Amino acid sequence: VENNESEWLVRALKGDDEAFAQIVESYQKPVYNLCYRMLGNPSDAEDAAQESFLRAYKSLKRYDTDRSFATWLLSIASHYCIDQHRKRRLDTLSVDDEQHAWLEPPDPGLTPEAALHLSEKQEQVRELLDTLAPKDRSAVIMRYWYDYSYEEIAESLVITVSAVKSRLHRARRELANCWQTMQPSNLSVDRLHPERMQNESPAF
Amino acid sequence: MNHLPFEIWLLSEEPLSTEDSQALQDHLQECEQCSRLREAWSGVEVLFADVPEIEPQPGFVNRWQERLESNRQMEKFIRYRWQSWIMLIGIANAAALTLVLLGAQFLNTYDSLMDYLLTWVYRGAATLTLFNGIQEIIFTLFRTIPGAIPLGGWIVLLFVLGGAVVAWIYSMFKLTSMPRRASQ
Repeated sequence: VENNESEWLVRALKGDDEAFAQIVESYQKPVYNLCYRMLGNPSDAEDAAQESFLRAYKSLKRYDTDRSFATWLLSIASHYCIDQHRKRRLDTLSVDDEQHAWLEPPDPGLTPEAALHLSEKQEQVRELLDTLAPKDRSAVIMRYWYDYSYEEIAESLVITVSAVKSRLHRARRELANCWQTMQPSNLSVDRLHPERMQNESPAF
Repeated sequence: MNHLPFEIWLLSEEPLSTEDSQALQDHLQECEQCSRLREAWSGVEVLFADVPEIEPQPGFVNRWQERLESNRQMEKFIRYRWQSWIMLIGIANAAALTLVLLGAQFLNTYDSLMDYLLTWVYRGAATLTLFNGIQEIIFTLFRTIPGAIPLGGWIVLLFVLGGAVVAWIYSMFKLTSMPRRASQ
């Protein structure tokens, strides 16, 4: 895939739109997921993901090939979503979600019970992430969904590594507090993954 | 009770030394607050690990290509608008420059606005004098010509003009009374 990616990038840099469309095809899922986690609804996530790819396309000539393309692309998406959060604070108009119902994430083909269970978990994740400041949220998403290192998060968010550590620590504290307030509606950790309780944190 | 180092350790991803790990375990045995924090953070971690990545609706790439095309059209429109504005500003500048040049020419030809007005007054007066001269010539002709023609000449002239009028009336009558052709 990386070889293909390099080839697509070279062709896209020469102005081949089809090559960039291949890049969009490969990265649509991580970019959309990041936007969805950041913004919390499918219509905003779709718009942000589309816009992120458009911005990447326009600034492709500025992309440093020594860097990871995924990191660069997610950095663009992340900054766009942070900007959207700032605008939301100014904009009091609400989006009619029913109008964008078709943008709801596709059904992953689960049984109704499993789909409901998954939907509840997704809602819990959304509620948890909603408690965080946009930049903290972005750092958490990069860390826990994309396994980014502190250095990669720092590079993406244009902050220092120590600032990343500080933001992640604060975010964990807030998430844990929010989790406690969400109880007992939450699923019990022991019931979900009893084996993880033994060694879920590097602290143990 | 001081929770500070334990809270930091609980939420840290850095590995702990054996002594620190033991101290944390001992603290958790007796501190309910830190135990709850530990359980809560574990719950969050498990939840995060448990939810899959969310996919966009099918056709994302096609929608992106449409957006790219629409964006290009918009950029083209904005570019044309800018070009139109630049052209309009250019034309306005050219018109202003022309006016300035004409003004300069005007100032070179006439020393002042009063000179310019006087020139037009002179031209108007000359035109009126010309019309007056033509009028005088026509009046002179009307006064002199009737005395120069004898009575017989006037009678012949009257008959010729009367015959011409009769011929004109007759031809007009014949033309209007001719049957019209059916239009095709």
